Amino acid sequence: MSSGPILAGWERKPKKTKITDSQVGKRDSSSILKHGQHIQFKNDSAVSFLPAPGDFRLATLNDSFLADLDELSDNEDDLRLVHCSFFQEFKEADNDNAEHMEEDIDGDLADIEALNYDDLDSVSKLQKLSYTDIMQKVEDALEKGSDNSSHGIVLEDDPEYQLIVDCNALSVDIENEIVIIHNFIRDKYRLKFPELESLVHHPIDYARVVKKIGNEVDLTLVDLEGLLPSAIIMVVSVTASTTSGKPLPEDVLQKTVDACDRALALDSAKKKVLDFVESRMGYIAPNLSAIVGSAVAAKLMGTAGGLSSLAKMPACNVQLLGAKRKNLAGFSTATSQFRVGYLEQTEIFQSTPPSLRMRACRLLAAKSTLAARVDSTRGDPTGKLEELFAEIHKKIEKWQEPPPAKQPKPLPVPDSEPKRREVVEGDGLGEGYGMLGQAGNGKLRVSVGQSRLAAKVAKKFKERSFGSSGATSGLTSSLAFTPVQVLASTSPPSKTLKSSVRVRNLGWGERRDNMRNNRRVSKVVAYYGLKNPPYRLDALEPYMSQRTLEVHWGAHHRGYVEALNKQLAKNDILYGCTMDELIRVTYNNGNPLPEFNNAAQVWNHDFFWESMQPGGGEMPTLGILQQIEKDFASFANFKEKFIEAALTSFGSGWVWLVCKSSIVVEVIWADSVTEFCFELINSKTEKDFA
Amino acid sequence: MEYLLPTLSEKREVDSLIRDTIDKVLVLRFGRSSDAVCLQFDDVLYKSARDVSRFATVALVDVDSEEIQVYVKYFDITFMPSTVFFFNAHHMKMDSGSADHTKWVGTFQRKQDFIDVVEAIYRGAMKGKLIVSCPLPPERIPKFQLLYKDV
Repeated sequence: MSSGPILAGWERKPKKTKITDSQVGKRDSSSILKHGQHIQFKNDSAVSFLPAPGDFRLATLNDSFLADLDELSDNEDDLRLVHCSFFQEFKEADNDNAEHMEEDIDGDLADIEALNYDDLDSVSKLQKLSYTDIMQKVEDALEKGSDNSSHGIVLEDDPEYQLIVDCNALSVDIENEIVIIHNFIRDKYRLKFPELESLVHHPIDYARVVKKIGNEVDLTLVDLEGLLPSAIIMVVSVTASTTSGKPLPEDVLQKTVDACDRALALDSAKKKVLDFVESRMGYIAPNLSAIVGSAVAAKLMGTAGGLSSLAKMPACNVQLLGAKRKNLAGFSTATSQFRVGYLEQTEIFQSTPPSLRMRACRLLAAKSTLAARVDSTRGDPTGKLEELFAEIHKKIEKWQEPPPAKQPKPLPVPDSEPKRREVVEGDGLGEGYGMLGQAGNGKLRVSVGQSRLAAKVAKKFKERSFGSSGATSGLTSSLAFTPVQVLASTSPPSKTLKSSVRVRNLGWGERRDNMRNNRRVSKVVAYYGLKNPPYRLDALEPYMSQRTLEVHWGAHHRGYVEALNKQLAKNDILYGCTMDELIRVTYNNGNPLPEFNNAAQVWNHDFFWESMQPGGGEMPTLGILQQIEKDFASFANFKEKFIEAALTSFGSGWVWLVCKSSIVVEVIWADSVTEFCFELINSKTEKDFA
Repeated sequence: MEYLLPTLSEKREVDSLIRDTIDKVLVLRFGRSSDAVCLQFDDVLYKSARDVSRFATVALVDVDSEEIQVYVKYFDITFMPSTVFFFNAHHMKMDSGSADHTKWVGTFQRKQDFIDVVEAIYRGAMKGKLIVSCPLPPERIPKFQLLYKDV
């Protein structure tokens, strides 16, 4: 069973293992104990596992871990724990050990028991030889005082440096040993006071407290002042009154107390070692100690295993040197600091407000790594890098500064930011735009320079048009911006204008750009085109002669269009409107602007031409017919009335068949084109019925 | 107000400022810092200087200095404070309903008025106009009487 899985000293294996005598006997033959061998022996065997003198080997860290084998069995009687490295201590006291092992009935840690009688300086884990040696040197050096004369030699050759390296290793070993002893004490004392281990975590504190309490049942008689913070003392006292433990037997108690003494002795030895290293730290690594302080520098170096190894570490590792994972099961880790090692003990870290601590830690680790590197190459013996320290302080202070006061932003440059494009209702090239063509505008081109104001105005009208869009005819579009066609001329009337004109919607942004670069773009003028009637000029014969059409359409209608365009050329605001919107705008709620007349005439004429077709149309159907018959009693009657109205109207004018509020159809004649046209737009026309 | 806004008392300073302000409106207030109206005007200027700083620069010209008299004569400055606007070294005029378009006479009632005026000048200038119309309603425009010689 000797080669079980190798466990760390504080881990317990619940398995029960036994060694028969024969096995033990076999071991007998090997006089040399190897590290890592796990030995168990029965109570009554006289074992002389005594290595021959001279068989000591240097304990390295690894090996000490390996040697850290505890094995427990559940059976208390068989409880045996032996560290094989224990045997290496045996020099003179071999026999004593054997005896004690024999006496070991209750399953104590044999080595610890033996420890009690051993040379005080020996430690179970440590090489006794090296330990005493080092301690001696340390004390000598401490008495000698610091020897800071500048050495031209490389650091590594310096004998003191070697001592320091050894001290580093030793301090680590001592720490491990303390942990083991702590475990031992804990095990023993659990019988007496089980809750204590969960209340007092630190091994040295625990040892002290155990020593103080001893076998005392009533804790009020025990004075724990100075050992623990008062809150903990109180908790301990309270818990002790309800504890489930029983007083220990005397010998167990004695062993426990001795173990406590041992732990405390080790602790003081460690302190001594560290002090020594610290005192030399300024000499070895001045820059590093300037930043983090000698104590922490010593610890860092110790854990890293030397200055050069420390220098080779990346900063993230340096940050974690010495980080202990102290998560007792069941305790929340929410408040535990996130992985800070020895750097936690530096003055800088302690003085940083908690919120900045992580950043400070990273910064510290980085700078200290740099310093260690400089030190390892002995680059800067004067410690000039102490300015690093000041630098770090400055940086941390800067982090803590409040943010600069917010000054109000200056206003943006006018017209520098393009406004969003207006949302266009209706599918892009379908209804909305198609209506344009039919509403009477052949092509529409918007002046580049004027659309800003037009936007404002048109937006207003868009809102209005939204309101009335339910009631308006399909002629109106809810476009705020007329899509802009960028091509073609209209002077020769072409044939195919009835179909909806494909236009490209010049977005708002583009217009702005155009405006801004108005030196570059030539002025494009918006105007309404003269829309052709959807038939040839002579197609309405014999009712309307070609000549009539030529004059009426070619001259009058065109005249209106051109006059309108001229007017629009002068006026910024009205650009960019569809015909309908133009009419609405210019009607101005009863107070018509000068453009209104021309616009209205254009519209009327367009509508007029549209309403006719060569060969005449059929009778109206369905809804219109019904409505007409309702209102005029018959279609023929309507026709009569219509003609009569037309003939009797004074001067030139228009006669309209109007559907008002979808109920009544009336024939209206109007002198004033103006009013009527407006009303027309707001009421349904026959198109709705069609 | 000398310590808050740049104050010019030499001709070459004014020249260089006019020349060097590029693509920003330059607002030059001609006045005395001891005059009460000027003080109030300067206060408005100072408070809005940062807000318009992206498209305008504000400077004060001390009208009592001898070198500046050239400008006083050129712009015919008689009332204090008078403000002259420049854009890219062009003198910008503004029609505010008063007889004199070449400068703004008097103070502003509100900060926002000043900002509006500067913005109007900026927009006009960016479009290439040399004269713009004043966006303020007439009640907020300070009135003054132009004194002509012999009239």
